[in-house]
Amino acid sequence: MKKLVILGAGCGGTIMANKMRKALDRKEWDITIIDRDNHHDYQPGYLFVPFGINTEKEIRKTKREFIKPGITFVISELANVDWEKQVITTETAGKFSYDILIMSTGCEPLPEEVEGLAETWNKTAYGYYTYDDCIQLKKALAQFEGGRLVINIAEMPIKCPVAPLEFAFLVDWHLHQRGIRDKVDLQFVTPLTGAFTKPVATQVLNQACKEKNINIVPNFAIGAVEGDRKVIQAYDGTEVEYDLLVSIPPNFGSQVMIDSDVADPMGYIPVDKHTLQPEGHDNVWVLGDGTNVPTSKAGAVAHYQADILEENIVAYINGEAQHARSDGHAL
Amino acid sequence: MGLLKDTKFNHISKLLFKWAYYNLLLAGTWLGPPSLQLVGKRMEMIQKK
Repeated sequence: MKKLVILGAGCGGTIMANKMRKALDRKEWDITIIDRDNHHDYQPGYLFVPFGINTEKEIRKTKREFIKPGITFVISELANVDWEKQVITTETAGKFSYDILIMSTGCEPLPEEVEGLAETWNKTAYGYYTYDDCIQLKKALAQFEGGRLVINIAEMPIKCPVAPLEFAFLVDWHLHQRGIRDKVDLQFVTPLTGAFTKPVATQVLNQACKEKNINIVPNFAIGAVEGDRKVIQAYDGTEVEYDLLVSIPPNFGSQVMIDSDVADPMGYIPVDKHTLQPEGHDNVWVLGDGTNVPTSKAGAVAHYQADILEENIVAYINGEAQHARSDGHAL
Repeated sequence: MGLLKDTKFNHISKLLFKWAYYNLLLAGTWLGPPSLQLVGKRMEMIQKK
């Protein structure tokens, strides 16, 4: 039997496992997918948890229920990825050799990458990129009676680039519902030149922020958070005071990928942006948030990347030319 | 700007997307060719930038 191993059972990994199970003969190919846990969170639903709209029951399911029969699901932390020996080492489930490797190990926000942010996390600074953080933010919002609420993007790229703006609009709605919107100075502090990354959308969204009385502070490259003073500080010395900080920390890929020497210093795996393969490894493909390709880090991107991978992997197995090319398209 | 408003259409769209995520996207269903990146883009504005 030949072996296809998939790292990560999030959006990209699950899609690939299910696609390849359909595409490959069960008598010839074993498919194994490895992930550190069995929670599959509906990440677009995180945004609504701090406002009491979504609950854990509505956004958290098991990974196993989305993985089709005929695929082996292994739960373990990864320890090492060796492209040369074609072996994956896990923390608790042993080693897995492979003929083909698909990597979809994602990225995550790391508050410790901004000076002072980890120390203030869930005290005066909050986030919404994990379920537990959403619950802490929900408590903080419930106690917030007025003052300056700052939403800060530390740096790009981030998972779902439009999420901070969606959050700003939801906070505006939430404060109106509570009848305290006029007591809150809502600030959107961003390293970008405006509300969003793309020029046409930025023009429209800047206007939407203006209409909602959300003040945009552009070109703010955060250097530190001073929790005692409730201040965020830019590298150029500019300061913005806050009463409640909602932070989008720098996003990093997997530390295991850095330690395995297959990723750049931010944990993102360098690949050809069209073929999604690392140079010199023709049996390895990478998709989703864990690559260094200049696309949005979003499930929709992974979905379309998966179509490319499926076509090219089948062509590779059959010894044919690989024609499919990713263009970074989402929806 | 209609897309940014608090409308029933937006609410229903969000619910439909959640259904599509669980039932189509994760299942690996083919949803069309990934080559529409210029559809709806106002290229003259992008080029000005």
